[in-house]
Amino acid sequence: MLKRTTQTTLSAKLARTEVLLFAAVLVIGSLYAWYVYELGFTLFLVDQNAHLNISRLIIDSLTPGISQIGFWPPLLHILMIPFSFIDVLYQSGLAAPFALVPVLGVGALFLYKLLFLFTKRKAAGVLGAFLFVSNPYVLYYSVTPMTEALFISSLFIVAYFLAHWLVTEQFSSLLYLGISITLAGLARFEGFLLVPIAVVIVVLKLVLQKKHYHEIEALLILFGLIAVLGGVFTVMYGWVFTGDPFAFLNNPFSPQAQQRDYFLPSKHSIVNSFLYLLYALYHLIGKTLGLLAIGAFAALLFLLRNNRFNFIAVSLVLISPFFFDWFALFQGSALIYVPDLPPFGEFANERYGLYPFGFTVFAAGMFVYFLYERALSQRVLWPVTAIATGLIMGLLFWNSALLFYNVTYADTFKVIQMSGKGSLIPDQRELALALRGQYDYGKILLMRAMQNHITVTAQIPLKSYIVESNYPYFDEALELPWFFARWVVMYNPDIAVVEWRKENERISARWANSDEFREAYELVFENESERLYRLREDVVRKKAAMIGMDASTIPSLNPDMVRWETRTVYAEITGKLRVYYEGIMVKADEAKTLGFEMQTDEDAEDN
Amino acid sequence: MVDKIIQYSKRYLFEWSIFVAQLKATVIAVFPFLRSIHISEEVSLDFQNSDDYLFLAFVHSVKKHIHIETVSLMTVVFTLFFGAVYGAVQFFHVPGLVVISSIVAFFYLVLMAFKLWIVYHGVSYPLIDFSKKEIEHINDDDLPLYTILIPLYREAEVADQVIKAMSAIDYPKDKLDIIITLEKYDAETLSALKKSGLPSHFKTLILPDVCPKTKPKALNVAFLEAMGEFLVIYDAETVPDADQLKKAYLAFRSHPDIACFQTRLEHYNANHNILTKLFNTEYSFHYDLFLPGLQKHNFPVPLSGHSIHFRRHVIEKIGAWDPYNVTEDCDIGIRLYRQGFKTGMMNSVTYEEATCTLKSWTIQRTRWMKGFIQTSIVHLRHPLRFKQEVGGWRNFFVFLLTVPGTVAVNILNLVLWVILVIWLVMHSSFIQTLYPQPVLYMSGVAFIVGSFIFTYLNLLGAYRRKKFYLVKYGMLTPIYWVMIAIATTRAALQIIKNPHGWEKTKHGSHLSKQSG
Repeated sequence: MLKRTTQTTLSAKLARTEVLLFAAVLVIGSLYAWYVYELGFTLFLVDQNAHLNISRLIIDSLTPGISQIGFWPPLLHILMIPFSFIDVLYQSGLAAPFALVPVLGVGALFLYKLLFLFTKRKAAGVLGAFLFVSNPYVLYYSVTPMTEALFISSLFIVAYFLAHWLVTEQFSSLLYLGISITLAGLARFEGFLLVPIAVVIVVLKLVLQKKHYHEIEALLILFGLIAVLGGVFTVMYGWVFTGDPFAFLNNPFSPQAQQRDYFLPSKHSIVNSFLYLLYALYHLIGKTLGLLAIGAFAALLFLLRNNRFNFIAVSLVLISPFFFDWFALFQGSALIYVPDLPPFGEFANERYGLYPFGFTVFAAGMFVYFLYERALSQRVLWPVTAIATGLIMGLLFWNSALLFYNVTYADTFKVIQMSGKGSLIPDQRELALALRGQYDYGKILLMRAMQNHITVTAQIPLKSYIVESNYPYFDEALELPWFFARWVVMYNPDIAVVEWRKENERISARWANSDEFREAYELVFENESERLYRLREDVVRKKAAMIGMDASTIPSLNPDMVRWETRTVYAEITGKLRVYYEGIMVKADEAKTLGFEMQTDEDAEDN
Repeated sequence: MVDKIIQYSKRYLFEWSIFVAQLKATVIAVFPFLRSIHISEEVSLDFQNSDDYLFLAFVHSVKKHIHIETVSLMTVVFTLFFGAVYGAVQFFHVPGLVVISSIVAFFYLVLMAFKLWIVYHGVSYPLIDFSKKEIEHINDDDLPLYTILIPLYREAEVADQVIKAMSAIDYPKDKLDIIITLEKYDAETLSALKKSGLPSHFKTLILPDVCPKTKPKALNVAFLEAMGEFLVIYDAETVPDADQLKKAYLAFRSHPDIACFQTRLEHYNANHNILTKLFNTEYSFHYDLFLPGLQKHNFPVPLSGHSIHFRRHVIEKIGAWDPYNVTEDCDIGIRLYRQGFKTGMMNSVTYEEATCTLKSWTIQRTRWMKGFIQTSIVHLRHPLRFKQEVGGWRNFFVFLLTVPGTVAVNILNLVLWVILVIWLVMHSSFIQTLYPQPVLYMSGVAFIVGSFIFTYLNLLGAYRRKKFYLVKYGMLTPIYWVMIAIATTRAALQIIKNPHGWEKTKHGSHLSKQSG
């Protein structure tokens, strides 16, 4: 009875600490969100706009639904839906902190639980959690529409349930581990590596326990079936929507495709790949914590007696994204630029260096705890150990505070600024404002993946856009834009971007130099990288009359046609066009046989 | 003046009450399913009936399937259903088939949510159990007479096994009232029993040559001979835990409010072939996760299989079994519930043989599903009264989901799989029009997520029973569902063509394999 009361009190105290910790992280995250928004960094990077757009398009699009999810892991987009649906949160990008700050809280909570599980000390958990949320980049990526903080938080959940299963052997923990791995895989592709890692750890543990083969097999099936769901979803999605199960790797916007034209110094070099990641880690986490974590891990490998297997297992989970990205850099499907290495002075994808942050906090936290315990247990040398513990803790928090101050105040996100340098966002903002000023009605044809910022800034209902994820609408509008879109946005053909971008901006590639297009559309705005066209209504009306079509059945001429039967309308237009041109051919042949040159309606009118 | 007003009022009230009574009579004449009592219930239970051994009121039996109540109810249900579809077509401007596919998807979602909820509660529900020590402490003198009914029909192969299994039961021989029923013309089984050396405390009862030739009729005949305070039915091939009767005695003693106890069934030949493995994973889910969940909420439990322990007087009170129902166990479970009797689940295992050939499995499953249809028909003859008897709409809907719902979902599965295969092969645009986006999502969630969840629950069931080697076979559950769907469709056809036919399940196939 007494034992039960003590347990109840303990769990109540733990619950209270968890609630307070979660609330504190919410407050910190909210303040940081406001600060970043005030500085104008919420939608600073191209990917931030893209994530936000996808989230909104799932429920607000010409063709809303699962087809809008695209080939990025969808968890962030799904989490943001309830907030991106609100115009003010969507246009400001504040939908992200509404979704991600609670996620950060959950991440901090699981880190706390993880450290508590190992140390049985609340203080260790709380300090670890605060170390985690004091990193300015973790905070930055928690208040902008990016996947980093979400992924790191999901790593903590995975690590916690793995540790919980290792300690308690409860079957339910294994199921939760499977669920959390699936969530991690749906947060970032790096999460896929957790499946084999967890499988190896689980099997190893069961083998060490001398479990029967059938029991190991059963547990693996029950765990594995849940853990692979994220991967299965990704493969099935690609298969259903493109016919290619590996569309997430092979799609035209995959990192591999995008980086085709870039300088890839880490490709096929194990050492370079490692160095780029290490430098990214150094910039985002800080040298002190990074080195301390590596040292701490190495030391604990030898020093730990009871928990060594569990410690290694959890560390492996937390460090796994490092290995994933190392391989991706080596393979050439990822790229990192840091100013210290060629091409020098640039930042790109440096955020990959943030993923092992969980490992550094965990390893450092465990080491400090280990020293603290030693200090308590030693009779003579305890002052030395206690001072060492204090020094390391002080170093950790000093490093953290310094990084926070420099990044947030002194340099105001210099790394982010450098990383976003050269993006087309300023030009797209200009065009979006021009579009907002001139837009009256009708559909806007644009390649969303290339011009994400426009849809966010223009404040025009997303149903008015025809984008590539509206598959048949887009494909048909790309063939005959003047019959479907009143507005067309495209790259300026003289744009200074890499070839891959030019090729995949299909509207510009197809129509930028077309006379027929220029006849049907009037250029109403242009800057260095973007162009905006408006339909010449009279020209299209004439085209419609010429082929015998009622203008009210042409989507670009009828403001009431919000949606239409794609195949039917397109077939009718193309059918009439075919009849018309076949008629011209027949007339031309007849004229030739009579010895006359054929004069078209347009020629007659010009005369 | 006042007298006149009173007189006038009385007359008016009298005329009004006559009008109401007439109106009620008219409504009941048009919609007889609204009746609260059937004419056949006005006579008391007839335990003297040796024509067909139906002791129950005619209305509680499926001797005649289509009563006027069923016809009128079906008319009303179909009218309401198609009226609702028509209304939705007019209101939402969508094709009728789209409305129907939405209703189907919604039904799937509801069923999925319900089963998940039940399983969630079932996982943690402790079954009634007693320790070895408690069992050892029973004084044999306190034990009551216990009747064991064993209906046999062409079971010569397992005659030896029956005797062995019953002899292994830990219960004083003089307090066992074992009755083996046999058909008159089943000399083969009788001689096999004799050959195996039938112990003296086993009684054989030759059944009178009257129709129907069903197991519940055999039980009813034997029931008249049963003398025990408690009663249990074992099938030919079953092997109960040796301490099961003692556990049941303790359970009855410690739970005087419970009328009958369902035990957990298990297959002793689960490893025989792929079919038995799948059958066993299904059993694990049903007995370890689903039934305990139903029990926890005190929902109507469609009792299943043999090894159900009853208080004799309760069986007497409810009129014993319906000799025409081919799943008399499911029917009696619901009938007990209607009459306010509680059922419990006891942690004792009875081993039985899993049908191990596709033919015998199909025959058995067809019979079960036919019985579910019969049970649905008989209990929904007066739905409002049924609702009242089971304690409200909540329990009424649980019955709908667990008994007729099981049949419906099995048949719908077949239809939906055919649609899916056609779409995958032909990419038929007609099928696409049936599933516009919201309906597609609803159906997708119900079908894909639902199939995954229920397959997974079967694996979980096997794991919980520590049948680790079966877990991997559980992944083939969707194939098993196709077989269930085919058997259910067969049952639906049989209910028209051969409503009372009892297709015999062949037992003992595992023995031939063993000897082979």
